[in-house]
Amino acid sequence: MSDVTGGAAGVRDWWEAVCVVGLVGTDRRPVPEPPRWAVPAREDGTPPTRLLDAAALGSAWLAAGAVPGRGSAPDPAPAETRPEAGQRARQLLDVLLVQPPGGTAHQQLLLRTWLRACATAGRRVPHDALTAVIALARSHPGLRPPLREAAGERGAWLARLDPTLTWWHGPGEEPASPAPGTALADDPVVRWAAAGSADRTERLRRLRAADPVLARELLRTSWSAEPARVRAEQLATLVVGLGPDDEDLLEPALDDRAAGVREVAQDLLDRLPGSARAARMAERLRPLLSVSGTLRRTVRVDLPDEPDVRGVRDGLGPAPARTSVRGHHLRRIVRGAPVDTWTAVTGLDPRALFGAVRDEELRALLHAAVVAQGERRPEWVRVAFAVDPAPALVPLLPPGEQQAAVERVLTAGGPAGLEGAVGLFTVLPGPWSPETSERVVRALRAGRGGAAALAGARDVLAERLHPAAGPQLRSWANHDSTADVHRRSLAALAAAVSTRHAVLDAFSGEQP
Amino acid sequence: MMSAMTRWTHQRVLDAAPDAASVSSARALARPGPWSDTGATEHLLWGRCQGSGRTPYQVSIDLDGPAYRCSCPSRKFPCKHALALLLLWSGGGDVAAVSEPSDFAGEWAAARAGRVAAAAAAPAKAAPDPEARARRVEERVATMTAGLEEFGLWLADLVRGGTAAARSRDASYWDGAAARLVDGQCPALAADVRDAGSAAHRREDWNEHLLRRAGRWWTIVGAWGRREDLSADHRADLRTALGWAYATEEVRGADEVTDRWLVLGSHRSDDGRLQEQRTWFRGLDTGETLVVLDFAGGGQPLPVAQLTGAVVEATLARYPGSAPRRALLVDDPVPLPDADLPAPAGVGLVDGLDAAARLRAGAPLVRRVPLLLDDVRVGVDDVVDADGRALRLVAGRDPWPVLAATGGRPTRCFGEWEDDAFRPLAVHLEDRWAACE
Repeated sequence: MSDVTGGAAGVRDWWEAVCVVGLVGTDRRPVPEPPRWAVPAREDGTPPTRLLDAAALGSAWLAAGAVPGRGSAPDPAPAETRPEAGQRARQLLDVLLVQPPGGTAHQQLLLRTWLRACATAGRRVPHDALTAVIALARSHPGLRPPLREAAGERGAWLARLDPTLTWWHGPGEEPASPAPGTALADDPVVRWAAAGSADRTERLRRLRAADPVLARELLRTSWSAEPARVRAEQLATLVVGLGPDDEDLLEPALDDRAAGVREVAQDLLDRLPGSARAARMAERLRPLLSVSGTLRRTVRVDLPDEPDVRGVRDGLGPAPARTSVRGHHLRRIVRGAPVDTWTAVTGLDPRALFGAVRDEELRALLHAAVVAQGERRPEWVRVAFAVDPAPALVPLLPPGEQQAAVERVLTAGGPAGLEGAVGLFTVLPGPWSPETSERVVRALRAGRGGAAALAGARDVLAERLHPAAGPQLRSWANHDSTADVHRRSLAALAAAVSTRHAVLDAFSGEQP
Repeated sequence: MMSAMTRWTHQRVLDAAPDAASVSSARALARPGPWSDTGATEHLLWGRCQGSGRTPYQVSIDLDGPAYRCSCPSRKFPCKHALALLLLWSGGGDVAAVSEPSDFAGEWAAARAGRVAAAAAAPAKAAPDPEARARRVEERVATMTAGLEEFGLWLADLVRGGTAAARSRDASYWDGAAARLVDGQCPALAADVRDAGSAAHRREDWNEHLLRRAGRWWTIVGAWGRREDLSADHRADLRTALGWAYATEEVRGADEVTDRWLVLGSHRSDDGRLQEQRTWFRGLDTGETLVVLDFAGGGQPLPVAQLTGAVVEATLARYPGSAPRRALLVDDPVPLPDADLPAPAGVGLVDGLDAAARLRAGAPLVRRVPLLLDDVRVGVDDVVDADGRALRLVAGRDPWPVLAATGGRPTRCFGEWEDDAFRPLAVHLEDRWAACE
């Protein structure tokens, strides 16, 4: 703040008196006499001209007589611990901010790529680009997590100063009491206790991916006191990183007074073939299975009888409208019983078993059970994928086999329908090899509606395609039969793919 | 001379386009469908283009200039409609060659031709008739005197009724006074009055602020009455404050200085009607700081800003008036990329403000003083020295780019001390200058 003290005593008082008269007008108040050091009032003045003379004097005095006031600036930012991104990466960032290749459609993805690559390389966003990236992250929440990783000390410092950047610290973490920065406030248990229900659910979602054990223990401290809807939502967060240790939370939840909570518990226990409920379901399945025929073996399954109380507790309740009760119970039993039950009872290996299940509906049930339980049963997943290449199975395959498995499907003419193709690309982890990329583009182009499917898969394709697919994309874009709107998106995709590689390339020499 | 038969080539049309986007928009319109009443003479091309609105846009193109006019609101120049018409015509499209232009095109062309002819005739008047010139000056002085007398009465009314009453009036109160000042040929003072009306609603300290402005206006009115007694510098300051522009031909060649100049910083503003760009230059040999002003209106772009921190060799011609003086670039500055020159030293915040006070005490109409401050920290609301003494920063600026650049550490900072607030324009980081805006 700048202020004026002036040499002469009472100048401030005089000016304030002038201001008061100016406010209400010279018709209501007399104009104060000028200070002794100043020019004397003009003889021929009227009250308005005398006030204007005073204002002229005051304005000159304020303009020329200003002295510094007291003020504050934030404490300096901590020193950076990481070097800033190299020159080539910086140039690319400028391009992405000002003129993103492929237009704004791919800007976010390319910026995310840049920020992640930057953080991975142990580098940080250059200071002079920070505000531009932050401005984009304000409107695009997807940029926020990678920005937090790559913003360096300067970015975190800005986020602490700017009251509009509360999202930087995540929901609920900013106005913490006790005061932020103290050891107590940093304790997740304390923060958990201070948080509201909705906030807790959001925290669980994030924490579960990073630290499943801590998430479960926090959930345990408060879960039973939450309302039914919140109990169901919070329990459902366990789906990420679900493991045998979660069973002792899920098993009691089968007795919950809310049906919504019981259903979440049943669905999650379907995915734990080692659980006590899975063993109970196996008990129910075993007597229903039988094998007939010697050369052409056929597996049959009988419908279950009326369930007992324990069965109802495990999920064998009323059927949805217009479906058979016993059919519904059979579906629940097949999904909940470990798939190994089938091989144990029939003596067939998974491949032979799938062949011997001739009823289509039953095969689909078995397939769904593999999808639910497949995490530690690769031999089952392989067989099920060969029977029906469902996208959900791809992540369950051993990582080394995923790409080859999808490519086999693509080479064989692609899955039925374009949606299946897009679904498969979506789960095929990137980055894709040049060969895979070319196959993907070929399969997309061959599929009916080809370019129209691009819209849905745009980000996945831009993120995973190898630039080797660029010529193919461009030739597709330039083909006579391609509609204008698709030409543009194909050309944009080709530009985004090559830029993405340029970004990764710029950081590849900058490993920490 | 261009004839209707020798149509422009496609390339010539493309060269006339302001950017690639305009060309692609124009291509979509370069078909007969949206066009009506098209025609061409030897010198003129025109037509009406049906856009999304009810009334078609009227497009006229003076092929000799070339000059373009269109009734659309686009700020691009030429707009896509003019380009589309040119494309249609250059491609041999169905544009009837007629001898007489349509009304709207003809009127414009006639008015334009008159102006062009007047401009062409101007050099002939370069040896001005001193008597006619003196008469024009006399007329202007009389107009301004009348305008300022009326403004003085308006000011007296303002303080008689009080600022609180004035503040409760609507915009027409201020706009009316400003319009009368425009009629009185005092455009700069008019703009200041119009701005004061909105500042009265915007600022928390509006009463004191308004009285300070009124005091300044009253000083101007009084100084005008005694202009014969003023020094040449003060008279020039007064002329600038009123908005009586100097012809660039008068300035050019009159008071030139050639030096190597450091570009200290620049600031752009846009009041919706007019864009302004101020660029501050520091002469490395003379040590003098000059400011170059550029203006653009009607959708025209401003000249490209000089790169903050660059050193250029240039001749600047100074306008009359007190320091800091306005100047114009006599020719294009030549960058000296390898100039290995130490950054000019700044002063402490207190010394800087002292120097500014001396300048203003000697030239009370000067509103903006350049300050090169050493070891200051630019914060969110204040710029602060090591002892916590501070100047308030101008309102409405984005504080974050400077903070991102400096991290709140002490730096050398160049800026404008404007009325009672500081506007940082550049900070010096280790080995380079960074613009703050």
